[in-house]
Amino acid sequence: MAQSSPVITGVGCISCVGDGYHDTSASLFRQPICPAPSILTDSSLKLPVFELTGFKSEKDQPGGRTLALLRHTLNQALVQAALSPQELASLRVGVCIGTTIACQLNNIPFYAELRASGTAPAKPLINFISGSPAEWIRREYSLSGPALIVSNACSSGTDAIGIASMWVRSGLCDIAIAGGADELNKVPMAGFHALSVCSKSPCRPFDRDRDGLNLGEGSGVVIIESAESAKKRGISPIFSVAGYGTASDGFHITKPRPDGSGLEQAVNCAMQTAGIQASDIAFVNAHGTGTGTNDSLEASVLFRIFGSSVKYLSTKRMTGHTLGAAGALEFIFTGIMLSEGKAGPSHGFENLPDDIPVAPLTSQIPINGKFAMSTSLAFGGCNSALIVERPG
Amino acid sequence: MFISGIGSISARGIGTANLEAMKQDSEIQDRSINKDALLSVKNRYDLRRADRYTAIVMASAVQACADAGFTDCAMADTGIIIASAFGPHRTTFAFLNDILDYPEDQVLPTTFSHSVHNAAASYVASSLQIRGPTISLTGFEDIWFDALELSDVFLNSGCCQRILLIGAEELAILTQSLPSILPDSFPCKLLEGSVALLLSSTPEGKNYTAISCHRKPACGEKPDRHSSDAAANDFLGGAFHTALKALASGNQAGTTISIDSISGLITFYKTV
Repeated sequence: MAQSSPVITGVGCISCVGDGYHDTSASLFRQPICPAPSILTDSSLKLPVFELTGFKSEKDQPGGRTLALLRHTLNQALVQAALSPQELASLRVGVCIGTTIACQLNNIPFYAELRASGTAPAKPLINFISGSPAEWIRREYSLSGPALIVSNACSSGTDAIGIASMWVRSGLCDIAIAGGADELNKVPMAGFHALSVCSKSPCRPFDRDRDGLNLGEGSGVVIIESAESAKKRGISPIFSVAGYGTASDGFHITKPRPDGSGLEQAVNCAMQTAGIQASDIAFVNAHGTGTGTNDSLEASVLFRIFGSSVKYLSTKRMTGHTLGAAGALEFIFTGIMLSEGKAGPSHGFENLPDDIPVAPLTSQIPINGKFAMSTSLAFGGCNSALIVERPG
Repeated sequence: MFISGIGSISARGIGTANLEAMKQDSEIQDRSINKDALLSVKNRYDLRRADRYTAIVMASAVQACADAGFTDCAMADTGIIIASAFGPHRTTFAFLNDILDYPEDQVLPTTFSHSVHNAAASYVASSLQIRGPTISLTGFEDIWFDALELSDVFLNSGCCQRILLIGAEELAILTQSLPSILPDSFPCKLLEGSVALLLSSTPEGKNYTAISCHRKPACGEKPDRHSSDAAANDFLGGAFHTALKALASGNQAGTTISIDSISGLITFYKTV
């Protein structure tokens, strides 16, 4: 039987849905914006992306734009959780952040100089190392707990929140700061384009005519603590992390295992942690990228586990695929939907194809259940699932 | 948790016997791994497309599993955690080469997919048929200790019975250039190699020793990166140190080694 679930007492989020918990809560149930070619990166590819054009970040700073996005949302989360720097420093606080960009030195001018001359200016390297997001937060707030960057490709944010919830559940940390962040960058844009998985139009998760994903940028941060800690501090939980499961396909670097058993194992493990059954899950916020392979496999597994009455959706048409931030943002969206008592629709879906056994939500529906799930699938065969619980 | 198998590869070669030898080196001149050693791993596990970093990771991973008595068979209830500061940065830069040298729409997809941090974990999982949690971690401070601690959390949670924990670093243009770009923080070239520990929730395999993690306050005393111990002033120092401690425990049942958080690169941000 599950122990008391770690609770979320602070949320920070920025994506093309909105900036901050309240803005995001309001916008999550409106029509999404349309992606457009990037104006902030120097990519020559005219792919439609979900870019935060209104978010300004200074150049040549530690951690770059990704850390700037993360800091922005961390501040939101700490305010909502009513945590001061002094209080943080007095507790056992861990930091777990998912990212794909901030853990690789993708600075093209720096590398061009290094390649040409065998040496390069120190500043970009210093900014890269000192801006490693989890360690930056640990230093900034004088924290004493673990500081980890999870780089599990597209499931990084989900795994970061899952790991942090395990720290709190195990008693290793009183409080954990967890989430994911990624900026739009020329490197993943070129890489995903090369893999032929980018759509030239707004993505259509689970649709008959889906032809790929749109990249995006964003950040999501949550403050996780034990229910006892929140009660002691007089803070009401927003929602809880009831369960986490993760499993490897052990199959291929980019292709998911065709039988979907890795995702199935992750989902079952999450439900086991939460001490619940499939029938307890009100809806699933699926990974749903809009690519042919991901969507058909994911929908088939959800159908197998939850049956023909499964209620599921994808929010990728609202944010794009924000890579390391995706799992964190979608966990937050799932919690907001559960708290608001409504979910859907799955934007971008119009026609049910033969390889999708049951359609995602085509309209907004009321949600009365106590639990919902967010799933992530990633390069390298990583499959992860988080279960959100509504308080009370 | 218990250490049931150990594997390693370094400039001294494949195998834990070379770890002992490396400890005696006050200064290692050639810090990169012999490519023939990596080629043998790539051929054996059909890693045709895999990069050098993946081969480095695989070399210690398969050895740790074999050391514990698991040879090329499915390992149920096992997870993988890989900890690295720079990860596959040779391949990351190979992809930047493509972007610099070719039009942006003509770069190679295979190079991109192998440039992500968790590509190596994917190969280990598929080669050894490991289906549990697979987590790739990066960091520059307490990365090895934090990974050890996380292994303990996973094992205690009951979500898996074993964790294959691997610390790995690759030498390439960036890591080789660190001493010239940031001489105060990196007084000598980094070591190239990997250390793998097969950790289990109950004693099994070689059962070297039990292992416990102790987190020291963040402002505690830090080790001297200019130590005469060649393995101590490096990102891989913590991993080598743990493996050596386990090997020295002499496979005596009932022994426990204690690992403290060591903040190997804590001096870095003090200097910048």
